[in-house]
Amino acid sequence: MSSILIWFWLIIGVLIFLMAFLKDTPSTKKTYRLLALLFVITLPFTATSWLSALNSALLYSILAIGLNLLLGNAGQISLGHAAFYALGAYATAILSVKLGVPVIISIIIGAIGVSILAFIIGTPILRLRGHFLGIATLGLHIVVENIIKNELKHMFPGSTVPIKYTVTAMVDSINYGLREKLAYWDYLSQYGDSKPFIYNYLQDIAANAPAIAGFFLTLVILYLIVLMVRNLLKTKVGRALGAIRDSEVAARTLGVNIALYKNIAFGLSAFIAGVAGGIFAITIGTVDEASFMLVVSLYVLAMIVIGGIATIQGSIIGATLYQLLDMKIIKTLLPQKYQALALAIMGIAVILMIIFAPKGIVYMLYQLKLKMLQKKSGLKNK
Amino acid sequence: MSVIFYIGSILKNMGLIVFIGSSIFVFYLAFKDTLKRGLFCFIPSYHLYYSLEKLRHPWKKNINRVLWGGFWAVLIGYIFMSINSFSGIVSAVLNGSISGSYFALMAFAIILIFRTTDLVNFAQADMASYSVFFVLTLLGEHFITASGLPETGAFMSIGIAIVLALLLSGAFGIFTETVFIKPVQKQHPISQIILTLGLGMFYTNLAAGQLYWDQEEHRLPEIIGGNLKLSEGIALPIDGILSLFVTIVIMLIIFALFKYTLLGIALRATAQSQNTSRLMGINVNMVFIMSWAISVMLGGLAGIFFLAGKTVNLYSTANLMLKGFSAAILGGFSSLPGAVLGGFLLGIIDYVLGLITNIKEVLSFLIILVVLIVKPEGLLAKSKTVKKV
Repeated sequence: MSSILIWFWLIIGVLIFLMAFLKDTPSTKKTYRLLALLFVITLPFTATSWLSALNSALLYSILAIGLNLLLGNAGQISLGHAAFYALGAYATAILSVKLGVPVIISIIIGAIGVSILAFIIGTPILRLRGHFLGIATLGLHIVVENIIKNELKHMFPGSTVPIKYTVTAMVDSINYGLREKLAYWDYLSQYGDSKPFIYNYLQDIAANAPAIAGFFLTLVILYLIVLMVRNLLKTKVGRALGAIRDSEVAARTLGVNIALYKNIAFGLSAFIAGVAGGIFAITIGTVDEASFMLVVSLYVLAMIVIGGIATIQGSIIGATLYQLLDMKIIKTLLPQKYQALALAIMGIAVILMIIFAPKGIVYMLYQLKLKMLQKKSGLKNK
Repeated sequence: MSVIFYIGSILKNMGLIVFIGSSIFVFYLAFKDTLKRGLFCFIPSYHLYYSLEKLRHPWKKNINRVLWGGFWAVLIGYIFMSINSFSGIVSAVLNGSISGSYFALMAFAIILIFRTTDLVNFAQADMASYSVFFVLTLLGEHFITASGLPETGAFMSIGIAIVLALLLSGAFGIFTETVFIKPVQKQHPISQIILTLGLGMFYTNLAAGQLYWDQEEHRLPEIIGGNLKLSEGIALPIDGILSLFVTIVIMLIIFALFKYTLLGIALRATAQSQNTSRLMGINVNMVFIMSWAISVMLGGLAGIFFLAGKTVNLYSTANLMLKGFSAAILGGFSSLPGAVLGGFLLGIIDYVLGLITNIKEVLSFLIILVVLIVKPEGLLAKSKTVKKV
């Protein structure tokens, strides 16, 4: 598809999601949700040149949900979340490549290991509050970075995950059939047969097949994690975390075991980051310390603030918007001479967002919805 | 040399005995204790933390002092044992206090803003690198710019360039405060943290975008240059001694300023309570602006001293900011003398650890973590009561 068509397609998608959010009435709900689902499923097949941005948007959505659980719902800040992300990626890579554990199982083992580690580290660290906790987690990140440089890099040299263990191998059989068909058409065209009109399109799909598979894999895991976090927040754990965020003293007087629940939030958050790391290892295919710098956790924080603190939709919206803006939109809009300014524009966007809409996009949308409802029912208060 | 070694080995062995004995005792207490977290003790070294919990046996409650005493004795003994020569440790302490002066300046800059405006400035590194690049620009360094900025010739000595650059960075701090920080003063601390992160991202990448500077490496000239040789094996860089001297002078000036001038009293009052000082007729906005200006100047000075005579790019101050944070934490985040102490302590710890291991970054952060866990308010801060509901 040409790039202008992709832009139209994405704008249509945004409109579908907006309508699904705003027109949440029983009669139209199902239609819009079905449309949104259809849009998401067809998206990787249509916007192939945007796939890397979309994949990283999904990956960062997972990370942002994890950090938002800790920051928004439990009120504990972490500036070193990239450490757990990195450990998850390395655990998956080392377990599957060196020890031959099946890939999916090694992701789960890695994430569980990371969450146990976070639980142990969290017990002393989480006694700290506010800025102190921020700096302590920053220190945690530096320690992990040094461990990666000194130890893990020797255990996993080369930093490339062999194709056998990545998502490329999973779609190989389907992709093989497609490539064979394309080669057959190629062969026929030598003898004067015209190529079918979808030839170019199918070639494009075949070239991008691993990325498409990565998209769906990440999407499924994102869906599972959204379900997990949403249901968790409705239980006793979610209520306890909210109480701790609002007032630790009040929560303690009501009989909430503060240390335990803070640890649970930290561990779960690390678990989700570990899963994201594992997916990173098998979809991107390279694991090195350059992908897990300190700025990663700062970007995730920015995403949460842009999207909306303490909401799952906010994490996803923030991460998607941030990644698409960062990797694609600004770069196509900027002239060639000033490409390096993309990150500066992201920075100013974050600043403006905090000055003018400190609660994030989700709250803006909720206000819009409220206004629409008031207008409809004639209950507009003046 | 042999004396230090013997003292070290005695300390280490005594410490080990005390440590293991009290560890066993703590394990026993934890096992008997019905606290759920007592069982965590069997995770290695967790008992260090557990010993700080209020144990249910009243006459055993001082066990943590014995345990930690043993722990520090082992650590110090081990350091003593691995020191090869006497001049090595002297040189490490002197060099450490020189690099401690950079950390102290940085920590001072961070804490000054935190005390007056209740905001942790994560853009301090980026603003410090602006100061460094101001110096480079004034000295006529050539930058690759897309906008075709005219080259300036070298027309001034480095001393004048540094002073001018510091004045420029003060103005830069005032600009930042009025444009970006003022609108968010009433917002949640987390939003403010993210704002300063965004600010850092904006400044650095605007400079890296080749509008006026670039992200290549440049060489910042030495201020005076050369080494001062005290004795065999002890040599100190003269720039470092200058930095140490300037830091001490600046600290004295600032403490006098805080104690005796009207501005200092206004700063201290604002740090205690913004509303009350507003009621008392203090121009709080002016205080905020002044504290930002001073803080950015101090941070910039730290950056210039830290990088003098090295190759620099826009990202080379990030490590200095992290060290500044650690120093601030070590001294207690709310006390200015604490920042100085924390900075010098951190510098010395770094150098002494550098003698014995090659993972000193990890170890110095571990020490900070341990300090945080044992004494969450830092070394010099007054302990605070928990806020009421």
